Amino acid sequence: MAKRRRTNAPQAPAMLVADDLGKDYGDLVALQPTDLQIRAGEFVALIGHNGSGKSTLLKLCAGLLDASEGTVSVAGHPVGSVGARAALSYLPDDPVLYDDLSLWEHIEYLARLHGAKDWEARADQLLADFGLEERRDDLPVRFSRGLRQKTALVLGLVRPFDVLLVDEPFVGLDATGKQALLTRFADLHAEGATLVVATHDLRLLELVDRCIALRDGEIVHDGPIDPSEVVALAG
Amino acid sequence: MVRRRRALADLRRIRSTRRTAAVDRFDVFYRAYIASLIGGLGAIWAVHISNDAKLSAAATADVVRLGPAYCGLLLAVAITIGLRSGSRGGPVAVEAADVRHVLLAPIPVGVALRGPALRQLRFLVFAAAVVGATGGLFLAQRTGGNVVGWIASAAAFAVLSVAFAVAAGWLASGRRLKPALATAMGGVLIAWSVADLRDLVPSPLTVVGRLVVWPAHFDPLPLVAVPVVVVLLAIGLRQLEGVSLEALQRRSALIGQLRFAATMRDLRTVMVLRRQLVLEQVRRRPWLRLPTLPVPVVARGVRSALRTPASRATRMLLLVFAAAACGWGVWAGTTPLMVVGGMAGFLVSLDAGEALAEELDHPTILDLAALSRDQVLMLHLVEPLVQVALFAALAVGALALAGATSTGLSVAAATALSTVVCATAGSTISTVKGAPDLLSESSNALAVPPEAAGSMLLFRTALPPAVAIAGFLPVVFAHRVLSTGGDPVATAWKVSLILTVLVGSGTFTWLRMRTALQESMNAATSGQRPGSRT
Repeated sequence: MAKRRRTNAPQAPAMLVADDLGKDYGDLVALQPTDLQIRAGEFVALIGHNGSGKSTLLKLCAGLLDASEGTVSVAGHPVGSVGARAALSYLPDDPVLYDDLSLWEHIEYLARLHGAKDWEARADQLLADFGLEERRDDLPVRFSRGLRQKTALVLGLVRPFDVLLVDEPFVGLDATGKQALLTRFADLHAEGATLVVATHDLRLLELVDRCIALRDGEIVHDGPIDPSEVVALAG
Repeated sequence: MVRRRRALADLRRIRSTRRTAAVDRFDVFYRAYIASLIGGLGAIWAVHISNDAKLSAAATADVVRLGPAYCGLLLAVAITIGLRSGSRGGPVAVEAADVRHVLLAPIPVGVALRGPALRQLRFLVFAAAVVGATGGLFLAQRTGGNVVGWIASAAAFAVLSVAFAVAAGWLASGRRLKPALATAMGGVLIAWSVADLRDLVPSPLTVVGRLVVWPAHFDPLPLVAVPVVVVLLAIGLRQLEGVSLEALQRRSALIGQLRFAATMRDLRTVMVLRRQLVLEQVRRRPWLRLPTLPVPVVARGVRSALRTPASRATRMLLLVFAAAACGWGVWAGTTPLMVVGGMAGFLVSLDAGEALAEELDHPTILDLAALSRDQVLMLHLVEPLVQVALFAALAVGALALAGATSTGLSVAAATALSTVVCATAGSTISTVKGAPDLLSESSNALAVPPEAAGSMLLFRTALPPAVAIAGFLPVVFAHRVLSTGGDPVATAWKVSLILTVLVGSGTFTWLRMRTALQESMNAATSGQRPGSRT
């Protein structure tokens, strides 16, 4: 990815804007109507108990869920538009991969679909960081949960993006993988990318600028986080 | 953008090449040839075995007069199915990985979905042509006209119907039509066709239906439907840009499982997944609150039935009416309709036996019960029998309202009795036997020669629906004795009672003895005494 200048000052442009965004399934409310603005270069942690609405919020921002009310825009484009999809990379908590493509073929396909340039060098670096160099010609369908998670991370990071949404990235990762990912997040943040990571892993909170805590589909905290508050807010 | 589209096209070509490389083309062609040969010969054989009499000139004139309106009604039903599927994100289904990677990439969704949508249309058109041609073969036998003409016109109508249904689905999913609105629109179309049947308001769908009777009465007007459906398909394809990714994601996950379950002939799983696909959930509040019943298993069944969702109850009612219409058709001399009617009864009964199926889905609860597993299963027969009987009574009532004669109604009542018992028996056998356990080492299939294993599997798959179809035999026999001057009502009741006793007692005995029989079979194949532990 091209180097960006860190622009997380208050006057930086808003990269992710949720306006009165809500989601319900009949009488089950997954996300209460929410207003949210995340500016360019911000590194945001999304915390909360299981079922608090973190994944719902991320999926709504990625366009994988239809909002029951309100709107979302990504880099100024309405969610789901070609512009928004070009600007946003979403890493879900459940990796979904093709059965008949090798790891390298997945990378090549995703990079080309997103019009990435000079992606081979970046892909090699990512494979090295996550310890997947020896697996590049293997089929991910035969990988363990952790290796599949690493594959999904590589696929999400190899393509160009302005906003990165990540849902529970540490699930299934070994210690090396976790460290590599934390380092990668720190590098991306330094390069000026906008990151939103939903997690239960407290180590991430040391890196972030801002922490948003959700409870029962409602934002109950938004701002810097005090370590003493984390357990109560994140479970 | 061009480079991204090329990347998508390249990948799909590579994957397609890879898939076909693993397939022996000669083998595929040979299998297709054998399947079409067996299917074609089977259809011709079925036509001859039914040996139905040719229609009189007056009856043929009725077919020409009323047939288009009935076909228009069928088309209205097909379009309704398309609209409802579209309102839930269908009919297009793509791989889960395509939703995550392709549909989240900066490529227009319509472009990404065009290939899968056209492939699906191609398959559905082919299947419709086969079904339509089979129907045309039966029509040719009854009317005695040009066989090729009837086959071609019926196949063309079926293809047009499917094309209209798919176009409706694409438009509904692209425009994100609400399910209630889709149902309402379909309801209007169906009501319009019914009104046309009653000569109240002419329906444009009846014009398309005239295509079917071309061999008897040529009318060029139905040709207008061809450019109309092509335009609708083109617009629908463009509208796919607006399809909901949430719906596509849900469908992609379920359809993958659905295909696997269908491949494994796991009917129960297919039913459960289909319900999830159409978002059919049981009622949170039962239709009625009943006091505690004395037999817990029966009470559990009744409680389950009282939570039947309205959509399922409506479907069951429509299927029962369809079965009644088929029974009427058999009574009028078109014997093959018993297959359609029997299958409709089978599906109703499968839905009615939900409590039994749920019990088998949770074997631990069943094994911890104070009663033996077989006793519980036998008691679970009560509720579906009563439920299907109630639906059958409604069907007989509908026939009475439709103007059936007293003889016809008596035959219908006799047929209803055997259909209730046979359909319940068929669905019970299907549910209790479950999917074939292809991997189990204790499978009894290992005890038979490999040459017989295929036939056994076919028998096991075909038996439950065949038992349900047998329920229509009273009306078949009644129609036959009518032509020889016999008493159709007495014949229908005689056949019905024989079937009821034979199938009812057979199923009951099988349920009571199946565990013991299974243990004996397993012991015989493993060389141990029944009941001994390893």
